[in-house]
Amino acid sequence: MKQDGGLLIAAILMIVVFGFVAFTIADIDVHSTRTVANVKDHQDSFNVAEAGLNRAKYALATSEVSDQLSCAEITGHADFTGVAFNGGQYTVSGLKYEPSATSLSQAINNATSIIPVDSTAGYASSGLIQIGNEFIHYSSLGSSSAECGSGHSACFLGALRGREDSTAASHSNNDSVAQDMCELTSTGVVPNASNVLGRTVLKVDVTLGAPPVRDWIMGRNKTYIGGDDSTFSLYGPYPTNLNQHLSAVSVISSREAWAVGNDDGRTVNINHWNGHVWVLATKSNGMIESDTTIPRRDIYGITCYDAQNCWAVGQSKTMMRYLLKDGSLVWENASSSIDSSVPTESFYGVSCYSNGTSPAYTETGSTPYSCWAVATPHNSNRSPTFLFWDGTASTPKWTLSTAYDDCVPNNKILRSVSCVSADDCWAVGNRESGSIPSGCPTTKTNIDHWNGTVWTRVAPDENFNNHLYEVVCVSANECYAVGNRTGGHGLVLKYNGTQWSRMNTDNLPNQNLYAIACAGTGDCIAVGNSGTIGKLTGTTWTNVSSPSTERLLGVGMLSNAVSNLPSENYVTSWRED
Amino acid sequence: MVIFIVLVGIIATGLMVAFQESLRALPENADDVVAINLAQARMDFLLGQKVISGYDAFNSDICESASAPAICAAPSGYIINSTITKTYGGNANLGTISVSITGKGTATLQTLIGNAS
Repeated sequence: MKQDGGLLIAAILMIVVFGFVAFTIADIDVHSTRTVANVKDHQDSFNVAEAGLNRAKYALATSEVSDQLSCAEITGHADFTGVAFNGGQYTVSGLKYEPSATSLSQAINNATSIIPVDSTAGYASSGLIQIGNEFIHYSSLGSSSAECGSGHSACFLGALRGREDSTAASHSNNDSVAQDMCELTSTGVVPNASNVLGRTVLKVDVTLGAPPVRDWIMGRNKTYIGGDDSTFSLYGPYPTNLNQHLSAVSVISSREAWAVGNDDGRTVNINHWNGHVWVLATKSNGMIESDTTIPRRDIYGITCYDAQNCWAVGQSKTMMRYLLKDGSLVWENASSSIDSSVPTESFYGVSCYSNGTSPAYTETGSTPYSCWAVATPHNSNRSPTFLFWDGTASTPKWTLSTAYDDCVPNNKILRSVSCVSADDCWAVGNRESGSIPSGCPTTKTNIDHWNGTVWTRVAPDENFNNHLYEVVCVSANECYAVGNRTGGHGLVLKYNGTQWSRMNTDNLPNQNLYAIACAGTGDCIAVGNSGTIGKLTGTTWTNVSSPSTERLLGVGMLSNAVSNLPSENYVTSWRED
Repeated sequence: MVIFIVLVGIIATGLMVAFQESLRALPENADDVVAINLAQARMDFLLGQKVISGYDAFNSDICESASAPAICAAPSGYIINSTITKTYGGNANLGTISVSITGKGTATLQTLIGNAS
């Protein structure tokens, strides 16, 4: 009996042990399988949440009006609430941070990482702030002198300076500090909100870009003025840009423009507005082709046919070209595009027009455009220098045009050219004193017209004795030219399709006007000496309050036919909750 | 009693065989985890390509080109496939990226991209 009882106990023990082992192994197996499933569910929920974020970022930034949403509109929107995606659902909300601007409570240098301010009320717990043209990322808010420094009870901590292509700079006490940010929160669940097997919450701080700028005015001593037709403000300073004069600007969009100016003996002065800041084009930042020879010359004129085709011209036959090259948009030294017969003169103006013909050359794709450039007179006869770049040619070259109908020598310094079409361009400038043949005009004012065959001198309806500096055409029947002051006011001439006549500029100061640009018919800006800014509305010129007293040398306006681009956004921080 | 013990032994042996089979399944789960991580890594790489190229130029996975960088190589026994679709819900400004892993482990991930920064 004792033996039988022992066997029974042994058998029961074996069953228990085997049972335990079996249960443990089965449990491990089930948990392992479940763990893998959890990993999959989590990863799926992560990607579902990310899908929601990406769609929200698109809605904030797109130029498609039908898809645009503001930060606040995202919350509760059908496209962002319980949206099925890849076996899960995402819901996105937007929280806008746009507190009242605060001020620096102490001057800071370009490396300060604790930024003391008067208040951080309403600011996000982390994100991006803007001081002047500098964007600064901060990691948290400080609220005591222990964190912010003696005498300061509010500050931004963990500041990373010069973010988003801006340049870290010193700022003065009381400088304004602003924030314009949207915090997006995306929750991804798998498979759905009522049966959650995987859940991920993602947050991004999206900083909305600087306001669009439709008008740019450039001037001496590194003067950048941006505006919106009626109000203008100074931009900068930009410490890393050349401390030289800016002479011309071409506006491509409300968030992109190019400006050119004098060199400083180191590099060519071409600047790019990227929607946030003006940046000097260099080889190191990739805006100038790495193997190009940079001409250390002054640049006087620039034109952009479109965002991928620009020409800049300047001193001593300087020709720079912006184009798509090997997949990148870069400026190159385009001296090789100038025919050897072209004299070494200073090129002042350039203008391009659609030639309606896809070019035979391939480097710029199928952009159908041709250009004219004008320069100082050349050769012993002081002949006018008109240069043509035939974009329909298989190997386009800037060539000297001899098709002009005027007295020679005429000593014309051609300052500007504006083309409406292949058979309608205008050039203006001035005629220098010299041995001008009898019967030829001796007045300084000079206007020439290209009719597709020949450049012909055209007289305005008054015999001015003034320099003209720039011409711009809105259409074949509406062109404007500006020049030195006359009769106590800046000089503006208008071409109405028949005749050049002086416009009433009684509202403008007694200052020379050096540049003019138009956004549409009867909508132009002229700029000149001592910060003069004149605005044309219809046929009336008015003097506009100027933020500068510098000599203003260039102006560019975005066409009224082009809408502002939407707010460009930056993802400044990203976290998973 | 002897019969009982023999029966228990047979049952225990059967259970052990079954557990052994279950244990064999455990490495397959680990392979799936590797597959999921591989898929996420490729997804992140593709999202990076989209940022660099921009939405319009983002049409293919550089890892599936002849000049694929070394980082694209899949571990032995795994095959990575990616698909970029430039339309979503009828909107050409929205698209999807799908990554699937086959071979020793399997995983499929998908996310959405937009024509914006």
